[in-house]
Amino acid sequence: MPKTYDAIVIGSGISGGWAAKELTEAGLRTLVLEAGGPVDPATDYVEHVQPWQLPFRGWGDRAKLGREQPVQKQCYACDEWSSKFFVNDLENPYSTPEDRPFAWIRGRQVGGRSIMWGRQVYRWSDLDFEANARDGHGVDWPIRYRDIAPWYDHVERFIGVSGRAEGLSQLPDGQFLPPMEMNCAEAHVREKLLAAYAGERVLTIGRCAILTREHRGRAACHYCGTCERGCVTGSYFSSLSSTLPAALATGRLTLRPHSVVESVVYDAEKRRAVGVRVIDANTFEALEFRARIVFLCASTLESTRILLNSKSAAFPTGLGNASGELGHNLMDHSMGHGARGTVPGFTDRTTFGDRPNGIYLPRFRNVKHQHPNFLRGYAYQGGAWRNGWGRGQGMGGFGAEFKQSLIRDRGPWQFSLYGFGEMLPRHENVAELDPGLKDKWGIPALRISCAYGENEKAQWKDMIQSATEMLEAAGATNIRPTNEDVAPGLVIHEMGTARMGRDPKTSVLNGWNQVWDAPNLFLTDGACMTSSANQNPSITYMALTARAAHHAVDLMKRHEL
Amino acid sequence: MNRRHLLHLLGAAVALPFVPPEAEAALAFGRAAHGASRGAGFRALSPARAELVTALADLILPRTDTPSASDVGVPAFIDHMLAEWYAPEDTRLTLAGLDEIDRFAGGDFLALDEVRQMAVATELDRFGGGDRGTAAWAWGRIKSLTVYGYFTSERVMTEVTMDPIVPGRFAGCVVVES
Repeated sequence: MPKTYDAIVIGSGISGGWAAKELTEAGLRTLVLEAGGPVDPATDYVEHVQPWQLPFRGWGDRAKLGREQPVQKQCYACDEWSSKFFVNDLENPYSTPEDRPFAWIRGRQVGGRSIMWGRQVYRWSDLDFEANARDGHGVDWPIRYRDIAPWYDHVERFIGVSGRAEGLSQLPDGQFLPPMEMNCAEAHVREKLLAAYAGERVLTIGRCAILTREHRGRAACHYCGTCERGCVTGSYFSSLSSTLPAALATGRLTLRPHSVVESVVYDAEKRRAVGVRVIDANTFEALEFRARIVFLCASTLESTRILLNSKSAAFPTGLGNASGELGHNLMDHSMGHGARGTVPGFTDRTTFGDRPNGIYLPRFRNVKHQHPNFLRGYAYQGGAWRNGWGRGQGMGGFGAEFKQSLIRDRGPWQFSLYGFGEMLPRHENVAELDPGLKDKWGIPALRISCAYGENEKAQWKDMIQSATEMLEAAGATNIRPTNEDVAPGLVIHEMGTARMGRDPKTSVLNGWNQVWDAPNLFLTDGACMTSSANQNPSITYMALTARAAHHAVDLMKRHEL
Repeated sequence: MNRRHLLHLLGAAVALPFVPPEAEAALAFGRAAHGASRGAGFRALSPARAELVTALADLILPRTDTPSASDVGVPAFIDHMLAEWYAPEDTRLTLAGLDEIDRFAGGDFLALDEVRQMAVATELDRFGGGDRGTAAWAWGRIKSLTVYGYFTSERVMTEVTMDPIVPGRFAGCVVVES
């Protein structure tokens, strides 16, 4: 007989960690299945390892990365320190059409990608939840801001979010710890933009899941600056530093690493998910576990892949696919467009410590007035910095004076505004099973076909133009456009493929993240997203997960599940 | 006209140093012995090339009140990157570019006196970039590796720049200490 639990959570990353915490705290004996291995911060975290302690001084083993991680190495964080937190692409293949590249960046370990995530957290507003209904792209979200707002509060209070309240309707404030400081050049640009745009363009410090003071037993950030390599003090939110310890403390958590989920077991008579099929990553043994409820939190494309692989007589094209929408409406944000320049002055000023956070310029397009060329909007991230000795690799000169200048001076203040744009949901952007491709464990792999469309491209033009205008307004010089061709996926905000909706005919999940076709199966990671907005999405996954977990427990208490 | 061609023209403009034959032989012997000690254990760079790279690195970052590039092991770092990090073709082009630097210097960069070495380096640096495998390109690569290798070395990070590994706090706008 397969071992039975009250709940199974598939995945231990940002969403899975939250499901584990909420379900165990509600009294459920919960099994968390993680495809990758355990991570021990004491030995695996490397944020204080210095370049000279590494064989390639941080450049990584180029040949090995090219051989084993040709996709993953496109991510800035997949470097000589942190490439171990990214998957081996040979073991985890997927395919794309040649003319539609998609960069699927993945982390398989306890904690998932919460170990090397970007830590930026922004609430959505009704401008986002109402967007599909307003312009007719995609289907209407089944929820509004009022449904999720208390869960944003709940999540922020637990994980710790530093930020500055700005009172903006398009970017609601939250439960903030004190904000990190802006540097001189950023504070200067903020004031210039407030004046030039009558308070409508508000450059604020990044809102991030990094502690600016001690919080729930976790120490404040010590500003070493490289969170993507881990954090021995647990000062940024990860499942490992925050939710999994809370789940463990209940005594009701069973965490099983090296557990690759192949599919969800569906009972057509009960019309319920009854368990999960697993392949042990090391022994290749096929296992099965059972539970009353299952939370699918394996990450956007992995969760959808598991559902597509969960075929039965009742659901021959995959569990949850009665609508035919499973795998469709894949989105990412877009990036690569903006401008950068030099901010004159402040040459006698610098920063102390490495702030692992930048600035945020919230969406200003299509907030009050409709832009003639595109729908939805974008936000800028970026910040100001001085290049220090690094500029010596490119600038002219050599000799004693050159050396002294690199040691003593830090170079002029540089400023970058880098756009992150909303991507419309489109049916043709899709992840399907590739009939000819399997992973190391024999599980059918995905074929991903995704590309940006005209609306995104129209935004890119405006991102460059607006950033240029704003840098001019801020008095910057030497302004250059940023115009990079970035494949979808690389923003690592992949979303959709199992969207929430109001109608089982056009969506995969209901308003509580339950699979329409199997209501005891919840999917709460990025796959559930009905639109993409332009904000970094992780905190919305966390809030939706906590909300769905409480709903699941309520239904179980009422014997409806 | 491509940049490589232009460099050859520039190379012709650099005066060939006059060195008597016997002095040249003595110099070559001494240089070989010196190069062997410098290049011990090097894999991509021959002793002669290790000596050239060492000279270039120390022109870029000479010893002052702080260590020189070779004081902190930059030539060994460059050799390591050429042997292990770059693709073989890239390394081949870098070595070819070092040959071009010699040619640009009239045959042997190391045979020039300090003033002429400075003149050649100034010319290469002013030119910047260029096609892969050219003298100016190789200079740019050696310079970039020298700066990176220097400022990421243990000695420079702990004794010269001394940025704290665990600052403990962040301040956005502090006066630069002189």
